[in-house]
Order: sequence, then structure tokens, then C-alpha cells
Amino acid sequence: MALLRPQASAADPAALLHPPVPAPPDEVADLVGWTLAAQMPGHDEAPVDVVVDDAWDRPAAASTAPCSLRVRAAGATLPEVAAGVEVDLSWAALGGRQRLAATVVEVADDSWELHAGWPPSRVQERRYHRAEARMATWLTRLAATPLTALTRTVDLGAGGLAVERLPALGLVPGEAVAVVLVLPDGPLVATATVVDPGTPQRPARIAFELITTADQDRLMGLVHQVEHGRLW
Amino acid sequence: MPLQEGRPGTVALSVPVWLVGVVAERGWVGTGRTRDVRAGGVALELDEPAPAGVEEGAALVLVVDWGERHRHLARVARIDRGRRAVALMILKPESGHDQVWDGAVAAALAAG
Repeated sequence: MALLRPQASAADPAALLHPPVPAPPDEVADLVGWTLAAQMPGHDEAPVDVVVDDAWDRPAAASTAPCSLRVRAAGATLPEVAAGVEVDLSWAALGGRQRLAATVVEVADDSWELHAGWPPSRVQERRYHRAEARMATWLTRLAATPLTALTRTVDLGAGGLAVERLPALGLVPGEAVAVVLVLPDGPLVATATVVDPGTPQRPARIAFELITTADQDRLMGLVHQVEHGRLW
Repeated sequence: MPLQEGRPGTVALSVPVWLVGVVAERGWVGTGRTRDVRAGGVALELDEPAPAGVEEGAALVLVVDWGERHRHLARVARIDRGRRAVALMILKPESGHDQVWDGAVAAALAAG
């Protein structure tokens, strides 16, 4: 499922102010036409794929607000449910799966109307939790002539990080790099592997390879601080 | 990869190395050659004096070109006044290559 927002053109000054990294939709209207997985707690059946036909009560940005969605089955028919049943909606997005808890408020022959709280929460499936943080990062290619470039993190954790794409380095998947981060309590040096060099719409993803346990502990502490709003 | 007896407990070895570290909160890449190696460590000569910031205790990525490139996480153990001779302690050898490192050194010392 493509999750790309319209990108600013190169001539658009906004493209210079904001890195061309797609973000998950922050408005419920953006979900129209998407396929989501719907799971009903207490039902043993596998999640049913639903398509969002309509979405309204567009919430204000950065606030919690109710929203309404009308969904229909993407393939087979919708399971029979009564009004009041709770449904978990989830979809793949940058940085992990997004989850929206919803309640069925109206059941029609081929669709449900759902009420949900907005914004969605992020479901993390990684071994190490990540936090969104923008920090200067130096990457050095190790497989060929040393070449270093400065970039910024998109998110980071004890297992790796996502950084703004670095076309100048010409990274390829599986390539070894050295990562230099300057954390609030001092620098961190590690080796890492390029998982995904990224695209203009997607950040590069990098997994740590050689990192000391002490530095992993520092990163976990940093993630904890960021998540609790004590930094940035 | 010619191995010769070096200082006591070490094996003389001269192969290219790179160091990647942090200087003044920025990434730094240095190049040089190993002078001798021992189990868990290496002494090397940098092509250029290490800048201020590469100090004893600093963590670095050490890339050794033994014919194939091996990456290790290392810490500066000693740095001389001229800032070109540096001794490193291997903190974390590249997976599977600690035996190459320590094994080669131990074998050469035993043979000597």
C-alpha cells in the first residue's frame, strides 16, 4: 500500500525547508481509498481487509479528536457484527504500523460506519523501541574508499536508525558503514549495515552491527527521554 | 600478509588501516598502517597526526585491510606526543574475525 503524500516540486521553497520524507497521514481524510486490516478483539478469525470509503470529522492537527469512517470489505464479505463492537484498524506506515481503535456504530449490508479516536498510535514491532529524533549523523562508507557525509536521523534506537537519504554516498543494501552520532552525553561510534538506502520518498534504514552494550544502553535511555518529552 | 616477530608479545605487521571517529563533534576519518598487532590490540602509525579530540579512551571504528577488509570497534589505549603512533584496544571484533585476529597473532608467536 503506497503511503506517499504529494511531494513538493524542486522549485517549491517548501521542498527546501522540509526534507522530502513522507509522513504517515495526519488527517483522517487521507485514509480514503486505503486498505486497512480490521481485527475485532474476541473474534478468533483472521483480520479482514477493509477499504475506507469515506472519512469525515476531520480532526485538528496535533490534537485528539473523534473521527468517523465508512469501510467495506476489500475482498470477502464483512463478518456479522452488532453495533458497539470494538475494532482495531491497522496499516503499514513509515516508522511502523499505525493503529486506530474504533467502534462499530452502524452496520449496513456491505459496510460499517466506525467511530474512532484520532490520531492513530504507532505499533512498534522492532526488538528495540525507536523514537523520532533529529540529530546530526555522519555516515562513512567502509566497503570502498572512505567517504563521509553528514545527514540527520529520522528515528533511532538501540538496534539502528533511519536517516535522511544520502544520494551522494551511493549506498547499496548490505553495505557496511560507520555511524557517528553526537548524543547529549557524548559521541557514539558504531559500525552498521545499510538495510535500505532509501528513496526520495523514504529515509535510509540502517541496522547497527558492532555497537557496545554501554552505547546501546545510552540509546535506550535517549529513546526513553525523547518519548517522555524531556528532550527535543 | 607477512607476519614477523615484533615487540615482545606482538607480531610485526604492516597493512593499511582506516580509523573513523569523532573530532569536535564531527565525523573524522584517518588512514595509516599497522605497526604490530597483539591479541586484542594493535599499534599503528597514522599518515597524518591525529587531530585534537582523538584522545586516549576515545571509541573508533578500525578497518583493517588484511586482503579483505575487517571492521572492528576499538578504543584508543595510547597516543604518543607526535600524535601519529596510536595503540588501540579492540573492544568488539567483527563477528567471526576475532579468531583471525587473535589466531594469527598466537600462531606467529608460538612459531617464533
